[in-house]
Amino acid sequence: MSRASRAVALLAAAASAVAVAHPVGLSRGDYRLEGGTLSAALEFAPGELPAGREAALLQEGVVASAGGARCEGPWQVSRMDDGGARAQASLRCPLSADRASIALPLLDQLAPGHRHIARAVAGGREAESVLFRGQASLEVSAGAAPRPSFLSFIALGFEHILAGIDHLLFLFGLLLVGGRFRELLKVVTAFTVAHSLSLAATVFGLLAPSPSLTEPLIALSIAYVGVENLFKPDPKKRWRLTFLFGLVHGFGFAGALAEISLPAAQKPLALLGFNLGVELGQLAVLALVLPALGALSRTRWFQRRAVPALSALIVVPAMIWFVARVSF
Amino acid sequence: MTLKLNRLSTLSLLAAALALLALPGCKPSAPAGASTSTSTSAAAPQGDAELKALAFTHAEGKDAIDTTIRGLKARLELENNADAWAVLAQQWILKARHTQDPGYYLSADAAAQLALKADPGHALALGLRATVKMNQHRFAEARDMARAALRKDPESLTSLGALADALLELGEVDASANAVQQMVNLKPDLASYGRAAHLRWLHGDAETAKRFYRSAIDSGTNPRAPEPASWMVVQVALVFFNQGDLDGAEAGFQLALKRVPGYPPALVGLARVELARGLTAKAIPLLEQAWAKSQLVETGWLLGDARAASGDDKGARAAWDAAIALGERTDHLSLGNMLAAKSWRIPDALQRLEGELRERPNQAVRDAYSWALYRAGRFQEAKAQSDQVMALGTPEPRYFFHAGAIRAAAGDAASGRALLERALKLNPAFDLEAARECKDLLAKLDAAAVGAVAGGR
Repeated sequence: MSRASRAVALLAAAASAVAVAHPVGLSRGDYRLEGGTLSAALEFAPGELPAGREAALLQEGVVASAGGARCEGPWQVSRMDDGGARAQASLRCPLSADRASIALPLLDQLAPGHRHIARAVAGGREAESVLFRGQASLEVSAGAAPRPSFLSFIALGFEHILAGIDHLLFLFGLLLVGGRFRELLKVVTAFTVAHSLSLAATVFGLLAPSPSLTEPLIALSIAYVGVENLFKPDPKKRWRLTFLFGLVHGFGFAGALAEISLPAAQKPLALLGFNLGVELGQLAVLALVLPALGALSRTRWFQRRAVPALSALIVVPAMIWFVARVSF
Repeated sequence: MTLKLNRLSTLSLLAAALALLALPGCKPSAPAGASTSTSTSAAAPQGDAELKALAFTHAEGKDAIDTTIRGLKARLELENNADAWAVLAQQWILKARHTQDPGYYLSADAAAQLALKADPGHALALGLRATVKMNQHRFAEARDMARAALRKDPESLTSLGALADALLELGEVDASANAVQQMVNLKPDLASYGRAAHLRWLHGDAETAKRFYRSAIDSGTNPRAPEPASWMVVQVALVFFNQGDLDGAEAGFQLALKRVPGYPPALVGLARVELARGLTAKAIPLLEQAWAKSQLVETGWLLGDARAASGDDKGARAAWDAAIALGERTDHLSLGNMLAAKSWRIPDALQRLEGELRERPNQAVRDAYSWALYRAGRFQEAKAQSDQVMALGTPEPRYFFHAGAIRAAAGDAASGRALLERALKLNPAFDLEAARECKDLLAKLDAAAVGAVAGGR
């Protein structure tokens, strides 16, 4: 087990002391789309479906549609020996339909935490998924196969940078003061190279600084950039400090990979995918921000008023994050 | 560091009361399920495909836990690995706690089962299954699994934690304290200090409990997973509340909310503070917010009480009905508690609480049962149960109120009055209805005493 994994184990140990929980229900559904008919077979344990109202609940609570039309059909409900319920329906969809959408508002009527294991079968393909309140829909189709894991790592990196508002704010702060294209390129490259290095160092186990150290440092780096902007930094030299701060941000990126104890043989592939995702996300943001900043930076009011104001604004959340990350 | 926990009271039949919000008990009803090949519904996921579906439940959030879960999924698609399944189980447990959605424990259990399929002797996976069983209120199973895990790895903090919690629920306080002492010896941290604090409070030592909670919170800071430390803050705030320090309690609940915005246990705690101050209008939206995020019998019950106090009888009835419907399905202890408190359906409450007492003969269940017996007019039986509740010396106003009323009804007015006074001295507004009933009872006892004296003349 990795050190990070052990740390999480401790959290779980702490967590269970006086947890707020209770038993939850589990039901199953089998959904098959064939020849324009969606066959549904659902089973519930005793007490899950209120007796006497089952058919009405299912009629309103299982909504299937295909090609813009609702799939219709009556539900047959029977009781099992232990009081559980079994419900079946053949729902008629448009004949040509090769995919159907199913929503289960029924889950809102069941006990909190209820999970529904749905098996979708269409065109010889089977897929199982878990539905619950807030995530109560699925597609039944003979569509694409599941995403290969290399792409999953790219997606993970892409999501990580887009969700990482602190990393993006840091980058925005660096670019805010503008400069020549070559200088901006050096800043972005320094950030990219540095965070890639520290990310790799962490994933390969060469360095493993604690999040309680790196997370406040990341917040401080953002505040520093905001303050530095107020004193008109030299754009030519800025890439050096950016490199240093980029190393710290890389440790932050690594958090997403550090806890999943990648097998040694798979680390290069996973790291490559994840880092590629981070860079793609970063490029996507730059593609939006840079043209806007380029246009605005030609105006004097932007340089004189907006840059100092925005820089000062950057410092505020950064310091809030810093205090929150060190004080609790 | 020795915390002298293994010298706790020998009343091993008495169990722990969890603080106001802890483990709203419920009889471990079998998880629903269904089989296509039998005439009875299945109680658990069937086959690897269902286990994998549960373990890979989509985590769509943006926080660190969700990111890690998605990463683990990608990693497990590369290679079947017991350690990775176990880490995935840990992450689902954290998510269940963070979101207050108990459904994620099914995902945790599935991931832990897959870890054990990859490595049948995986001690951490066994310990995690014990943790899940604990949270599913299958306490005996949790104890047995934790012990099995500890035979593989005697120093597993996860397993020791699950064992300590299960034993506490099963009424084996001394054995639980021994497990916590082992945890403290191995690693004095959030997990061990938090449990030590709770045990000290159960034994009437609120000051040491607060000190240990402080140590737990100080050692448990993790920006990526703030919920466990927030939970500890809520626990210490409840100690303040039970001592009548409303400002201290409010500060604690606010701190927990600052770290985990919208955290239901903190919202409910804050609502209790506002209700104690008579600020019903402030309490209601807090409870509605908590109920929307995490439906628990006690939250619905309290919301109904708050609405009733504000004159919204229809809203109160709706909240109580929702709490009762929920309790009937998932939480017999809280429902029994509520029915007994309100003198509703007492035979039903007694039946549910007798079942709970068989499953987990601990202090909280015994207190609820004693109160239902009191409502049924079975005062001597109630007193026998109440004596066991009070033996630990837990400074919980509700226990003093119940014990006082029961003793007075059983013919011991003097000690009854003393206990009722103690409840109100601890916190004069410990509960909207119960505190009022406590004051009324005390007034009746005083009037009776005056009458007796006058009659004597």
